[in-house]
Amino acid sequence: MSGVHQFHPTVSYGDAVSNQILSLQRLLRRMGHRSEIFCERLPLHFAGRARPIAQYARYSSPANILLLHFSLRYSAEVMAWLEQIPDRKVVVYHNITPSAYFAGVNDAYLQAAQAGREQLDRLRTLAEAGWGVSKFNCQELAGRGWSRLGVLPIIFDPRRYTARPDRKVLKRWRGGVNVLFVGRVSPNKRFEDLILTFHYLKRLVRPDARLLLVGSAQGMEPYLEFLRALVERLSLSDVVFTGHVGDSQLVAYYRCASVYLSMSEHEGFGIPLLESMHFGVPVIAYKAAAVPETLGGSGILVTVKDHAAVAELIGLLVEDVHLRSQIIARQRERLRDFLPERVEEHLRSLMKDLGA
Amino acid sequence: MAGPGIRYWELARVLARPFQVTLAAPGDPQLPAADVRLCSYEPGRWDSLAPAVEGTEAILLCGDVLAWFPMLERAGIPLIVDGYDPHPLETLELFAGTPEQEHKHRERERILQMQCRVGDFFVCASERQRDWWLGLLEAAGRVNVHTYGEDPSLRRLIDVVPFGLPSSPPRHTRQVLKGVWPGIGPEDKVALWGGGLWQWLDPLTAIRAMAQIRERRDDVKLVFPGTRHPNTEAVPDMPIHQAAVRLAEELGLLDRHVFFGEWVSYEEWPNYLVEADVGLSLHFDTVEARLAFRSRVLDYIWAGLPMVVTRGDATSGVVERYDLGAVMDYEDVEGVAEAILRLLVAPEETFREGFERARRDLTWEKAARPLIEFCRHPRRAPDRKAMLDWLEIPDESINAEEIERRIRERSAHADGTSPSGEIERPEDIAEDLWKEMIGGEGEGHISIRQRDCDIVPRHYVIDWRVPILGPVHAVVRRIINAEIRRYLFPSLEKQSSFNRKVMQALNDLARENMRLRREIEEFQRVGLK
Repeated sequence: MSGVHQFHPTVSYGDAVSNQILSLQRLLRRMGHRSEIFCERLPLHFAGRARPIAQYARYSSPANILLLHFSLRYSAEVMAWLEQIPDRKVVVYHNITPSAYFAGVNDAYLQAAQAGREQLDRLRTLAEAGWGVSKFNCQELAGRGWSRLGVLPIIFDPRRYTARPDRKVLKRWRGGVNVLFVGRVSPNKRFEDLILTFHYLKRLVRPDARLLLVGSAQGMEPYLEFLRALVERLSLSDVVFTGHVGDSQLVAYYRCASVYLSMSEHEGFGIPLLESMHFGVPVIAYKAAAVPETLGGSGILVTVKDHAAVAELIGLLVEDVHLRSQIIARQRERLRDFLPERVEEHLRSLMKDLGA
Repeated sequence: MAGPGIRYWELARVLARPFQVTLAAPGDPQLPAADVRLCSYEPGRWDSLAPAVEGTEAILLCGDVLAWFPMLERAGIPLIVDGYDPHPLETLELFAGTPEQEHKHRERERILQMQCRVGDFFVCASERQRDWWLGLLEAAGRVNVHTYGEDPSLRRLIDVVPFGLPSSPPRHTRQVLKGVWPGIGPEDKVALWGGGLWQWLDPLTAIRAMAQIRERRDDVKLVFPGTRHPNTEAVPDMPIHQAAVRLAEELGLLDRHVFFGEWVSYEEWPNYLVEADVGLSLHFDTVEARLAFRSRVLDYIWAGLPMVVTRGDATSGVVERYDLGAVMDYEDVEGVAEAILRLLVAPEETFREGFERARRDLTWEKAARPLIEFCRHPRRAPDRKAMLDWLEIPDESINAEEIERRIRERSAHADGTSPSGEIERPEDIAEDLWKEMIGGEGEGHISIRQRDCDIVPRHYVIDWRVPILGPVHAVVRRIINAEIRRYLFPSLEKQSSFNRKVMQALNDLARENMRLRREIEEFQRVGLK
């Protein structure tokens, strides 16, 4: 029996690509396909849910479709393995942060990002189609000479956010004006713009404001050091770098948030935007990369980084209850497009194109 | 009243004919001008300026005003930036050799950059200044598809509004020099130094020339009626003033042939101009002179006062073009002495035609034309306008323009009071910090940064994630860390210092390498020719 299997170098609970892989597996199985997950490095706690690629030989068939989730780069071994197996291949492109953002911050990331983009050209010759999680990603693939492209959006599964909000976080941060950003501390996310906006917010608009920056800084220590120095130079209080948080803490931070602010310049999709929609947090986001597409007519987009003006906008959004509820309502509407049943329609259509 | 005061008072007067004008100035503006509403503000206190800004359709301002009130950038009102004064160059000269120079210059540079960024229309005092500004604006990204697309001559982005002359001649209301000033007789001839004594000006040559003139004529007197700026906080007394007084004293000229006053009010100034026989405007060979427009020369023209000026600035070109006196080389003592003596005996009609022509051409009414034109149809610069449509709310039931308007309103009324002098933008702080801590790896630089050299741990050595130690209590961890630091710190410091020296040496080597490469390329190029 042929199957639609998935591959990613590694899987773990809580990371965006892994969540998408797990959600897709559920959909594919519901659609009647055999579907397994294969990894190069398999964490112990995932042993029951995914398999190492060494076992793939048992499943391999020219009738299979193997979805290759691509978000940074594959090792030489994986590339060699892909060249050997006869299965039909489709690359699911989650996007790679442009390497230039890592210059001076993390040389290993810089090289990996460069190598990853180069690998896209090799994968083009191996895969028969490319699916982007956004049109933005597809456009990049098209720019690199890919044809037979399709959009398979990120699946938003509300059940993932049913954890009880962390009490300590709620107790500590509830009340006041909390500006939230969720994402890895990485230069492409432009945390400095968040801090500069917060500087104006705190000084000119809402002295009671807090900036909650939720996300790991692992591998980005020089950047984190720069951000901390900036906070110190601006004599800012109430800027919180939480580091990596668990599910219940994440839910609590969203529950505390007054506004979700993104100044990111490069996002292949932007899952925290969907999370904000889910938790009823109005989004203000810089119009870049896939962000406007993900918001899809909801939230507020800013086209220029006028920090002071954005600070006033936050003030307005916090104080104008009517405007706030209008924004939130539209966001909730938009979120429906990413629920499993909607994405299933996309998936069926893409599979049909492949003749599967 | 100093140059800026005169400029804005006269421009307000001319603009008040077709428009409603409010002239806002720090302190207590007292000079009444028909149809001009006067108001005073306190630098850095937005609430003192906000009422004047309310309902305004365009604002003409100079750099300092922007530094005091950066919120004007977001007030939603077209801004006309007046760049008649090359402040950064003046500051370099003013604070030359002092420890403050770098800081002061940096401040001025920031203001200049701010001006370039926020102006919707720019004016300056001469074509030469316009060329300078065009360079600045291009570097600031303001010469772009929007501004060039609107007008390829860029006159709609920056035009020349020179200093002008009042349309009516100066009126002599009372005797102030001849027969009145102690040491100056009724029949004496007066060489007038109009305006203040600033560091980039050259009163020393004038005084030395007086020493030579004294040998030939005893009745020629040099007067510096206004040597100090009335606002000493804004423009401090400059060392050249003391140097001039000292030189006059050393040469035995002080209060006999050379006289120093304090300051002259704008109403009194015509009396000095009318009584004088020759006007002086001398400066040193600095880049400030290349860009300066000396308003004092305009005063001399207004009064029909033949003049001796140093070459190199825009106004010496005016003197030459209209034949209004003598243009000398820098620090030419003999030349200046000869020129003063020659002008004192020249028949009155020698320069009459030139003065008449100059007066016809150089009026405030003519000077202000580009401003009047802009104020008839005040508008955002096309590139700024593109930037101002910054908000996108795709929800059709929400009016994004209305939200933008509300934000502008909020910004304009925000309590933006900032202590005077605190002008460093947070954005610039972030940029500098990024360069310092992360840095760009430009050509010719080793990709090692200071922090790579510094191996002394900043916070603590042991992390709780170290599995051997397990969840050691924070206090215990701190004690262990302190101990480790105590033992390791001296050797780590030594290593860091060594690393820094190596980095310096590598950077020097890279620079030398670059220089040699350029030389080789140059040799190859010349060789190929």
